[in-house]
Amino acid sequence: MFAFIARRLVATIPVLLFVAIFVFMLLRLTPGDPAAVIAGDNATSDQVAAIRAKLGLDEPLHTQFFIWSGKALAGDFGESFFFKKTVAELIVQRIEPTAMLALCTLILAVSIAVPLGVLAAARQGGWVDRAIMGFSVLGFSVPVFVVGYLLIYLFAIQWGLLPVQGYRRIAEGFGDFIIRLILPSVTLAVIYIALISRITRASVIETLGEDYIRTARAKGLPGRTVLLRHALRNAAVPIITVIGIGIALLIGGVVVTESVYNIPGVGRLTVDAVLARDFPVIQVVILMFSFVYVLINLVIDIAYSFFDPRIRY
Amino acid sequence: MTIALENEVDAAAARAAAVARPSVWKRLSQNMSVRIGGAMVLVMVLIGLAAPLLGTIDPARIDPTTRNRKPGVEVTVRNDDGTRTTRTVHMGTDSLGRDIYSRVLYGARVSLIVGISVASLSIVIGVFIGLVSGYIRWLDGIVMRIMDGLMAIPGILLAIGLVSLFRAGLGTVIFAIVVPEIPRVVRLVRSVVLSVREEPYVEAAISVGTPLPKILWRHILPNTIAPVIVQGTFICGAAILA
Repeated sequence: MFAFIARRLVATIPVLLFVAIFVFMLLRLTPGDPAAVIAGDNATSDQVAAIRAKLGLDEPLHTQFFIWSGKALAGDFGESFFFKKTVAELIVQRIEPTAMLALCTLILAVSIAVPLGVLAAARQGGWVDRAIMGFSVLGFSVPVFVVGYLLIYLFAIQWGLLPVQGYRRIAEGFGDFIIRLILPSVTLAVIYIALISRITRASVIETLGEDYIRTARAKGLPGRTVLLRHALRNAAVPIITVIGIGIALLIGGVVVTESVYNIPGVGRLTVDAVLARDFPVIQVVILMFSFVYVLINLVIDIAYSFFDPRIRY
Repeated sequence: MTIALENEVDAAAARAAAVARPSVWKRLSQNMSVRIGGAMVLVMVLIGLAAPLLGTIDPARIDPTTRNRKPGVEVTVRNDDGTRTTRTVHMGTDSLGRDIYSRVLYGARVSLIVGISVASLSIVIGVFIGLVSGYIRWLDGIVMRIMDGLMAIPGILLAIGLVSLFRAGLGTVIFAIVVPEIPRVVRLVRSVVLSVREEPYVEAAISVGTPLPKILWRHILPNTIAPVIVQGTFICGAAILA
C-alpha cells in the first residue's frame, strides 16, 4: 500500500508539468492581450507595449515559461495582473469559502442521498421508490440558480429566517459562519442528492440480484443487515466514485452558486481570471486543481480496496 | 477444444439471456414511466423539428420598436417593403425585441441537439477508455493521470481556446462540454471494471481463452450499464443547462 501511494505521488509530477505547459500555451496562443485590457480603451500602442514589457509578456514563449516555472518551483507564484496582490495571497483568501461550502454540501448530500437510494432500491417499484426517483428527476432538471433564488425568496425574504447572501469566515464566529452557509449548501446539495441517490439505487439493485444476497437471506439475516452489510457495501464502488467526482467539481468552484449567494470563492476567481486574461492567476489555480484532483482520486482509489478487497492495483 | 468450450459457454449465456428477457421492446412498452417519459421526449423532438411551422418568426430578429412587451400583447411590425403586419407575442418579447415564443421553440432544437450529442459522445468515449483502462493494469496509471489533468482544465478556458482556434458554433460548444465530462465517465466505468475483473466468470472467460475485446464487450460492459445510464442522463441535463 505504501509503495502504491508513493508511486501515485511521484506520478503527480508529470501531470502537473503537462498541465502547466498546456495551459501556458493555450493562454498565450489564444487572442486577447492582458496588456491591452489593463491599458484600457484610450491607450496608445506605446503604452500597451510598455505594460507588456513590464509584465514580461514581450519575451519569447519558452523564456516566459522558464522564468515562470523557475519562480514557481521556488515558491513564488507571481503577482496578479489585475488585483494588486500576489497570486498566493489571492488564492489563500478564496480557498476557505470554497472548501467550507464543498464540505457542507457534501455532508448534506451524502447523508441524505445514500439512505434515500438504499430505501428506493429496497422498495423498488413501490410508491416510496417512485417518489424518491421523481424528486431526483426534478433535482436534475431545475437549474441551480432557480433553486438558489427560490430558496432566498422563501427563507430569507418571505420568512426572514436566514440571511440573503454573503460569507463570514469561521474566525469571525461560528454561528454567523454556519447560518450563511445553509442556503448555498442546500442549493448545491439538491443536484448531488439527485445524482448520488440514483447511482446508489441503481448499483444496490444490481447487487441485490447476486447469489450471496440470496444466501444471506436464506440463512435468516434480518433485512436491514442484508441491505447495509451485504448489498450497500458491494455497491459502494460506483457510489464513492460519484461522490469523489462531486468533491472534485465542488472544489473546482461552483460559479453560479457563488454568484447567487455572493460568496468569494475559487470558482468566481477562475472565471474572472479567465475572462480578464489574468495569466498568473489562471496558471496557478489550474495547477492547484490538478494537484488536488490527483490527491482526491488517490484517496478514492484507496477507498475502493477498503470497500471491495478484491480490487488490487 | 478451448474454442468449442468457449462457444458452448457463450451459447449457454445467450440461452439464459433469451429465457430471462422475453423482448426488450415489449417490457419497455409496458412500463408506465417509460411510456410517459418517452411521450414527453417525443413531444420535445416534434416541437424542435416543427419549430418553423408553429407560427414562429426568426428567433434572432431584433426589433427596437417592440422591446419588453408583456405576453399576449399584439404588436405591429413594419416590414422591409413598408407594409405593416400585426401579430400576437404569445410569450412577450425580450430587451432586444426578440420574440420569446420563437426563441423557446427554436431553443428546444439546440438544447436537444447539444444535450443528446454531449451525453452520447462522452458516454461512448468514456466507456471505451474506462473499460480499457480499468482492465489493462499497466495502462491504468497512465490513462488515469491524463484524465486527472484533463479534469483540471476549466470548461470556460477550453471554450475560449476552441473558439479562437476554430470558430463559435454548435460543434465547438459540444466539444467544449464533452471534454471535461469524459474523465468523469471514465472514472465511473473504471471503478466498476476494477471490481468486475476479479469476478469468477471473468476468470472463467480468460481461462477458456476468450479474446480480450470479447471479454470487455460480453462480460464486463453489461455490468457498467446501470451507473453509466444514470450518469448519462445527468450529463444530458447538465449540458442543456450549461
